[in-house]
Amino acid sequence: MKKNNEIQEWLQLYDTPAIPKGKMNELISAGQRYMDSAEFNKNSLQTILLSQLQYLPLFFWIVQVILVAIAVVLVSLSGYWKVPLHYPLTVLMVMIPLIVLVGVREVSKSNLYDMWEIEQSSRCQLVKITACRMLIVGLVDLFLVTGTLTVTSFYYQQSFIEVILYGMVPFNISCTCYLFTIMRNEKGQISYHLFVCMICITVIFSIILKQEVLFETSMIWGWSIFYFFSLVLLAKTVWDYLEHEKKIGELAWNLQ
Amino acid sequence: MIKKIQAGDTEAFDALVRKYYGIIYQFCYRRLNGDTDTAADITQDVFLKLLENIHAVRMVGKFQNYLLTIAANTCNNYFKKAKPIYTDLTTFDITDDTGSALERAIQNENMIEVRKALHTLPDYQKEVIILRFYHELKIREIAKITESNIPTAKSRLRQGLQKIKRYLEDFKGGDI
Repeated sequence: MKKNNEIQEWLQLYDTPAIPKGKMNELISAGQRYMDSAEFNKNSLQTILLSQLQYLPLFFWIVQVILVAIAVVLVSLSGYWKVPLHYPLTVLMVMIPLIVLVGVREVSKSNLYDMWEIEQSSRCQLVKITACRMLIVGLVDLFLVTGTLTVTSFYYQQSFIEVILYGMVPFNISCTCYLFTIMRNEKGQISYHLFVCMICITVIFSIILKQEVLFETSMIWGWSIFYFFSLVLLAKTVWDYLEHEKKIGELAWNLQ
Repeated sequence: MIKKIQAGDTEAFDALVRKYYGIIYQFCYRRLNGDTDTAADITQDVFLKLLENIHAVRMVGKFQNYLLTIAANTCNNYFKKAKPIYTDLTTFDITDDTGSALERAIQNENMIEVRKALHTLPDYQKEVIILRFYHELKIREIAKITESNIPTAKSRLRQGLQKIKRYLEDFKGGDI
């Protein structure tokens, strides 16, 4: 015990230098800067989702509902008049990219209206706001499109899965193309390019869906593969889009 | 104080740093064999890491121990990533100029020897010795900070002390 005490006393001889006051003050300043930044002020996902839900304009909801209502009426009339399946599908090929276009414009309105700088400097990061808007608008659009496809499958007595695949592939491709267009474009021309993109998607899918061979039962696997492929592509584009949003935010700070 | 920082009170962070900076700096300084610059950098990392994770902090036990845990992990990570440090064990930045020149020379020599003794220990033993003798923590607390169990912490402390004892015997010419 005595030996241990002696060792302890001997160890106590190892003193440390004075605290570097300059470094401590630097740390306090760095910490306070961090606390004032958007990164520190992390709101919960629920808070951001609710706040973004509140900022989605009434006009957006009305347009979405009107487009879906038109699609449902046209599909119902096609079913009532018993016209071939590719006619209501052509209607959907026009309506789905249009619904998605309205949604994507809402998701990326920070970029379209050049407001990203203000949102980036708010207490919530731009990338999080965008992700939350994407989640809300994406889920709403999925719900509306699925509803429309359900009506189609009901009128045409088609398998629900098949009709969902016919509708979801253009849905995924539309989302991918719009996001890609926004990422690659100059701000002033985005609206014009998005509209052209929508026309192209509509025309291409309308032509493709006129091929009756695509609706044979054996083609379900082909549609499944195409659906999977489009889903992977969409996921990759969403990721790139969010990275793009993150990067422009960082660039803004570095330029200050 | 933690709740105030979580709510974004910068003054609370200022107070927290002023209260605990010394403890963490001293731990890092000894753990890094007296490298003053790296000790200051790692101390800064500790507090910034705390801020990054402040919303997840659920306080159980002493706050000082929580910070020491972060400091111990940050030092260990530093040793894993960094090249070996070649600190000059024979120089000191201590500015204590009380006492006569002879007393200061003796004190300086003793300090160099203690540092050398600590330097001979493996990291896991050094960590335990520092926490036990310079921060006066209980074995239970040391075990928690070093993420080991109580018998392991005890055994590391005992082995570390034995090595230091042998070093001290050599230093004092076997009169201990």
